Amino acid sequence: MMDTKRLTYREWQLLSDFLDGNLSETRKLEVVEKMKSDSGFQEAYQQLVWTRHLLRNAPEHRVPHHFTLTRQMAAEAQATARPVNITRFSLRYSLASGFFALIFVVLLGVRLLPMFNRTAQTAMMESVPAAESEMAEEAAEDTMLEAMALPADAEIAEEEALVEEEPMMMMEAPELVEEYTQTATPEAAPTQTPQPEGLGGFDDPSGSGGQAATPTSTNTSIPTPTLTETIPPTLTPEADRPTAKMEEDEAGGDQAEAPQAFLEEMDTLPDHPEDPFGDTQGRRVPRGTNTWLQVGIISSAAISVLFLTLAFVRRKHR
Amino acid sequence: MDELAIIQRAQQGDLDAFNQLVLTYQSLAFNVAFRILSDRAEADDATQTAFISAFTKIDHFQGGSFRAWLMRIVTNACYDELRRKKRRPTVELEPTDPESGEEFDSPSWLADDSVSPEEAAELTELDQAVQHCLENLPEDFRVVAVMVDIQGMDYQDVCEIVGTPLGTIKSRVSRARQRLQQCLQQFQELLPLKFRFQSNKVI
Repeated sequence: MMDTKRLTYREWQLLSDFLDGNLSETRKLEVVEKMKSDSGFQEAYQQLVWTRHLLRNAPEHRVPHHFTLTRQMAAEAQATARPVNITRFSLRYSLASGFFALIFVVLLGVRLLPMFNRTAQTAMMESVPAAESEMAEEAAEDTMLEAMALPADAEIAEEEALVEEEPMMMMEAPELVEEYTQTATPEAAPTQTPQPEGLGGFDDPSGSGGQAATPTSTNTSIPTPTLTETIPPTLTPEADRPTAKMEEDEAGGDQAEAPQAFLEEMDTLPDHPEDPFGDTQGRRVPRGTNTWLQVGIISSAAISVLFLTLAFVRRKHR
Repeated sequence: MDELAIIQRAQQGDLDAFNQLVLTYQSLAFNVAFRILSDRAEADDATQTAFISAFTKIDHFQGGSFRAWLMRIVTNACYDELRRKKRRPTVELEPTDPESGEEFDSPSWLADDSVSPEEAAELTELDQAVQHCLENLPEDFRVVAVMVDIQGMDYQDVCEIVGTPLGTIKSRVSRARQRLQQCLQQFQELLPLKFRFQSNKVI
């Protein structure tokens, strides 16, 4: 027997195709010519023919029994084929999960929308303090002009101008604020600050408390209706001066704190007409809306996860 | 009745129609499974599993070669069985001679009463030689060799069954033949005369 191991893989492939009749006429002629000239090539082909001859003559085994299905086997087969229904069932869970996930995304988007509006407004408000300080200066100038025009009220106008400038000074230098408070209070308190009962006034000689001092302090000889609006914040109790805080913010103050204060105000006031929680008339929106929104977001997320878990569990039980 | 009409009845849930298809193809299915698995019991299981699977999926059959569709199911069942065997290897329960430790011939080889004892002996030798050489082939080569060379299937059907391009099938067949040829040469002296290689006769 000749050595057929020298044949390449391509030659074996060529002989195999020749054996199966998968070659074109040209290739067939080439193979025949090569077999005539190369005895090893021819013997390799003969061995391939012999191999296929053996394989084709390998005895066929009789089946050990018939493989026909009985009614019972068919019923069991249909029963085991039910995972398809289970798959559909888990598909329903998946769809439900997707639906609630969609609700979650929508609600979250709605929840985040005011935040984006707020961010834009915060940027707008960064320019507001400067403008407000200009307005404050103009107001001070007007006061000075009024003081010049009305010499009788010169002292009052000076006081007004001074007091209007003081908030800015205090915001810029907190230590000065405290100093001012200590120096100004003995003079301003009797005239401007209503003291709570029982606490006593400043240097109360009678010792009868603030009740006696406060009424008399408001009855100064000079009527100053605007003075109460420009009282420094430190001189007025928190509850009695809602506008003083606004003025403090408007007067410029700390540039870093102004947007924060504005954001705090935004939490409570619907100040933007496009705010979905406010209206164009600027009416306050019930705070319960945000609560319900948060409840909706959390609930939809939880339900979505629940359905997803159920779908996964059902699929695993296939 | 033609096969297409039987298939359509089977698709409508007619169990008798499906069983007609089973009777037609059970021998082919079992022999393919046996040549791939080299074990009658496993081939039995794989064949039955394949027919049950075919019954539940017959409504997915959308025309074409029913034989190729069924053989694909059988082949997949065989692959599943091979994977199971790899995960949980078993010890064969072939009867062995307690003195020498060598296996007796399986009674199943001799149970075929359609041939004479001499022919049975010859076929047994050939069958064992072929099966031994098939076992030494890689699974993918074995499957195509069984289908193309033992069962005589068309290349196109084999492509459909295995789900592999035609070029790959041809390549596998070529390599399988090359290995089988080298393997079978070792059994030449044991084979009956009519199956021995004679260089001038076989062409």
